[in-house]
Amino acid sequence: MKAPLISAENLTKTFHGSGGHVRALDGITFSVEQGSTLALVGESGSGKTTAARMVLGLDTPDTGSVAILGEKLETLKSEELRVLRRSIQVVQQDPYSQLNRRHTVQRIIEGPLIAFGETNASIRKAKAIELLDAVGLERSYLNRRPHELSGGQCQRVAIARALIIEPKILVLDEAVSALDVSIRAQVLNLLRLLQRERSLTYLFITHDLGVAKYMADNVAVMFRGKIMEKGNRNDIFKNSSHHYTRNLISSVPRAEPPIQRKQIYDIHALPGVDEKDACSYRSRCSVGLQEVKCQTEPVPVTSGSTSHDWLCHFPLKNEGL
Amino acid sequence: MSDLLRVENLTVTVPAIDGAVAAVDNISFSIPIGTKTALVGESGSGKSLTAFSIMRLIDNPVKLESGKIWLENREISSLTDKEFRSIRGAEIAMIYQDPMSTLNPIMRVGRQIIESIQLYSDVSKKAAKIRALELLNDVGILDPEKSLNSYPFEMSGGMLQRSVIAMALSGSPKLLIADEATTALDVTTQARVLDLIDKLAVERNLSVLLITHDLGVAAQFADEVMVMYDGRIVEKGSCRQVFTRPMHPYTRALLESRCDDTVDYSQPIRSIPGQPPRPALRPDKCSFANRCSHVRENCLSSSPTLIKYGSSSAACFHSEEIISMSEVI
Repeated sequence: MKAPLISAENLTKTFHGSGGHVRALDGITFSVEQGSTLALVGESGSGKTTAARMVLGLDTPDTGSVAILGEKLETLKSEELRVLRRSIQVVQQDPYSQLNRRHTVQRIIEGPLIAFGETNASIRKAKAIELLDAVGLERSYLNRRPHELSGGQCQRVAIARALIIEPKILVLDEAVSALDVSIRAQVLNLLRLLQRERSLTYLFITHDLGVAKYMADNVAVMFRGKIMEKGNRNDIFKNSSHHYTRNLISSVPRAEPPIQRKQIYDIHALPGVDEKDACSYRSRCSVGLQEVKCQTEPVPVTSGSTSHDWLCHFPLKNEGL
Repeated sequence: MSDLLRVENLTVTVPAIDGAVAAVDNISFSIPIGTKTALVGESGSGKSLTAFSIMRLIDNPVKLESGKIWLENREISSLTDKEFRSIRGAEIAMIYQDPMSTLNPIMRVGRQIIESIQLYSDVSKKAAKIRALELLNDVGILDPEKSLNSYPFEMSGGMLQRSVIAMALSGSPKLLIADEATTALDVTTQARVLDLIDKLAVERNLSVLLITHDLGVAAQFADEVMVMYDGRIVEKGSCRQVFTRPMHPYTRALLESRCDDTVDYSQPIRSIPGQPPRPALRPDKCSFANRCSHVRENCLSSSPTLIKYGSSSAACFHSEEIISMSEVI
């Protein structure tokens, strides 16, 4: 088997604030193979973005380690880390704030080339034009500035910038969440096309299960710093075993008139509980509220198949959704 | 069924370099008593401006150019600003996308709710507090007493939006306008808040105007749906009609470009080419024409108006063609 391009091993991270400690990551492990997409999904505060920051080397885990292209980030000196950044780039959520609004589109897209010492202006420009073309924007956009662009166009510019130094990995942190429906579809299609053409590896952070289903080969469902369930697209969307996964999927509003009101699986508005010896989801779970086991016993990882595992004492029977 | 709210020929203009342009262009609609209506559109389509116009929350340089608004046979668009204060908040209440910015961050939630109760009815502080506790209980807050004494930053997004809804109900309104009220919430919380609004609407015979960009939210929530594009209503009808047999190519294209858990990932989503137009002086043509796959000559020479087909209507010259596409499926 090929070595994964991204491999995160048992990451933990606790943020210490005046209001107490927040365990943002609580021992998560995942890996992404070349040319594939892993979606990290979950609600706000589940730790998806913290995990992405670790992968990008923007933050260090308390314990555990991240390896990119087989190189463990914590062993690298800052100059080596910089070189590695050629291989991993990021596109963020807000189309406008991630671009320097005083720069032209050309300057923005050339940015990474400048940072990595490409001094020949005509080579840079030629590259920028090539990338603009790849993301479906005309050459005339080179001299525009972000305020002259729509949200979707900004996002295309951000993608062009990320790809200009030919990275192998793209971290997409809620990259389409701020876009309108019709534009979101365009950008998602573009991302799939670019992935195929350039055999890119995506780490796709999203709260949107529909987008995850469209984009991801594998999905990791996060809740309170833990991966509650992990599997391929089929495992998660057809055979979900964790109550939280089922709840998330059933909460996605479908654009079709309801035949009957959907059952909401999640029964409580309570936040999760933070105790070591218990399932952190139990206070929102119809089973977890009743079963003593969920309140007292640590939940082990159960594997259903080579691709599929979950953290639940009482997994759902797979009659499908 | 009689109408609670009726809007006729509403036009709202915003200033532009080459003169004022109509961001809301001559729209008319009505909301029958006790129904839930969704106004769907992309950003810039004019849906929020429509809501702000109803609430009379627009100010220079945005201008209410023309249009009349009736609330239960009373023309509220001719009221003076002072008279309108007895409508805003009391008869028509509105909740917004970001509950954090609706509430005063340095005031306890309880005080804010009590304040708004006392604004709409002449009761003592003690009675207002009891009423506030009832309202918080009604919106599904488990520990009303505790929430009353909390500051906004101590509450989660869902709890805050519930508190804001409690506040909106404090004047016992007849119409609740929810402007992207669940957009900032997690899906699970969104589902619960939508359920809550639904329940309150039934219990209190409340009409709801839900403004959203999310087709799924509209489909799950609304009885009636209006689709807005470039300042105009391009289609309206019952939820079932609009989502199963769309009559406007824009509505149909939006439905095809959705990405929910029913998405077929084996092929690309059918996206709509081009960009939504920015408000501009409208040439005399259909404003969706340059993105439309059904465009014909007459689309480019005149602008379609809403035409009734059965109980629904659409602003398209070729609606019959679009409807027949649904029948094939």
